[in-house]
Amino acid sequence: MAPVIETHNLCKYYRVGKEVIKAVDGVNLLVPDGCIFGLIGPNGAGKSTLIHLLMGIILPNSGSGEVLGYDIVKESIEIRKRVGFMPEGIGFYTDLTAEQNLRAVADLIGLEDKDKRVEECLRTVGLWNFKKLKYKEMSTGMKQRLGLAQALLKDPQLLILDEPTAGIDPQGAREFRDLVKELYKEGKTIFISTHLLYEIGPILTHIAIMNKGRITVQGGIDDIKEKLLSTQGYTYEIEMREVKQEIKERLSSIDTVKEVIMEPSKILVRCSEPSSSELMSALIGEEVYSFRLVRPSLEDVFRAYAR
Amino acid sequence: MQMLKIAKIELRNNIRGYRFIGVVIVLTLILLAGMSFFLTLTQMFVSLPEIAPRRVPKVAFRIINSLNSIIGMAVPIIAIIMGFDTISGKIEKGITKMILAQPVYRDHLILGSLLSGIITLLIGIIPPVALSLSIAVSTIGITPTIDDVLLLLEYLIITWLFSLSYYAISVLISTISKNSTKSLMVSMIVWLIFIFILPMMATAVAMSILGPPKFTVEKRRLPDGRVITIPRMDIEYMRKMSEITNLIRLLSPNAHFERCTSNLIANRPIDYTNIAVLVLLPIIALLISFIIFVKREVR
Repeated sequence: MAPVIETHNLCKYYRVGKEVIKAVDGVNLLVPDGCIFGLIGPNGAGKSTLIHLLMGIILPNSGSGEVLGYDIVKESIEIRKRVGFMPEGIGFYTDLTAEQNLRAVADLIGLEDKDKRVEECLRTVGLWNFKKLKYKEMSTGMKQRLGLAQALLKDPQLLILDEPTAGIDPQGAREFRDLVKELYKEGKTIFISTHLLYEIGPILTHIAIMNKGRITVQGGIDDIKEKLLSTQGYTYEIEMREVKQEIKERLSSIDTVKEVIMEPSKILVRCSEPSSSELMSALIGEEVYSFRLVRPSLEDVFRAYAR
Repeated sequence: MQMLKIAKIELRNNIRGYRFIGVVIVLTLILLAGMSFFLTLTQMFVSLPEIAPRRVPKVAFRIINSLNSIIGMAVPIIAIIMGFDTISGKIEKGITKMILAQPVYRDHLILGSLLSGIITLLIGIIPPVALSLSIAVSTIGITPTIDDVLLLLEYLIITWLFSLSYYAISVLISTISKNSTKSLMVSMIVWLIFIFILPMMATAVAMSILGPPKFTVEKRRLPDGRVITIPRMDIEYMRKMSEITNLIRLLSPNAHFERCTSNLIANRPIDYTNIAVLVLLPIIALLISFIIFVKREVR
């Protein structure tokens, strides 16, 4: 399947005084169709700059990129016609209502069935009952949902959401996550940039970790976790009735075992490669309650690659 | 045309805002208060014809005369209030980002904003002026002549151009500063400079060039036979002083506005140099704002 976003050695530098800041530094990004892709990185990693480059709002210093097959430099207007984009810190006209603001955006996009689309989008994000509310009277969560509604107006194949849960409460973030999952089920590709792993992490299928303008790792989450396991080693957690020094010695004698950590009712065994059968053989005759491979969490992945 | 669409949206937003409504109400009240001078003067001419001048000034002259000083002060403030966050406010509120997420070029965005601002200013100034004029005319019961109407129209156009100068200056400051509070402060400082500081500086500069003022003494005999001496400033000194101060004050749009309106009131032909300045100043300021905004990148 063709990727929806592809960049080649994309660079964007800013000059601040005498210093040159590499906001995006040689990024090669590949976002496959039909996934929820998380661009994860700390504040100031260059995520928003990268997204602005993808949308053609700013121009790169070097490198190239395509979004939905359109060149980010020469065909930015075509990209913005087709991609639903919700920028970080999006705002609307304060003295217009939710409906009036969406109609205004529909006007700018040039939609023909404005009324229908505005209603559909307001219903999708749960704002139909608040359509007469002025933007300045809305809560932060409602404002974010209106931001998503404007991105949905084009009925886009690709949605780009920049820090969509920033500033909203946990309940609002959960609703937002559910909404994104629904859109994913409808077949849309969703590209989310965030530094709030715990809010967005659970729904992602693919990620790229960005730090200091560079992508340190990217791909399917399971693949990345597997990659982390192979580079950092495999940790097995063995719960048992009695943890004895003799067991530690037995386990340590296995070639692939690098470290054995004893705790009151469990043993953690770090191995250089998958060693479950060797470990199990060494535990024959012991009263083992559970035996499992500790898989890295998304946070472990982030910690390992956001350096 | 994306530019016109943006102008339409922003115009709708502007005229629904409390700021616009507040400005219209305040301006109307100020103008109505100013009109009381015109009404008093006119009533005096009507009820005491023996003290009226041989040629009672036209209705329009009297109205302009009554309102001119208030308009010279109030209109710049109103223009600044309308323009100080034209660009910075949009950036702060995230509206720029929202519009640029759509298929819109940056130049269309700023042109639409400027167009809506200029129309808002026109809509904000015309109704209060028209309302106060019509109240004045209906209260006195004088029907203005065609000449009066044309003169008032001319005055309105000059006032609008004058307001545009301040609007454009505040838009330029708002484009450069990117922060509305800072933009409002700097715009108000510019207004203070033009209204108060520049005239004082002009006098100081003139005195530093010409030296201390020269006086002559005039002796005058009073009816009771006493003789008093009155100091008079040297006429040549006063002329030179006036030339220098006027020249310096031309740096301010207020001076051009005052020259235009004083010519109107005195029934003298308008100096088109002043009009040209009032037209060119906003064009140049808005052009600079346009270039800065289009060249700037969203980060």
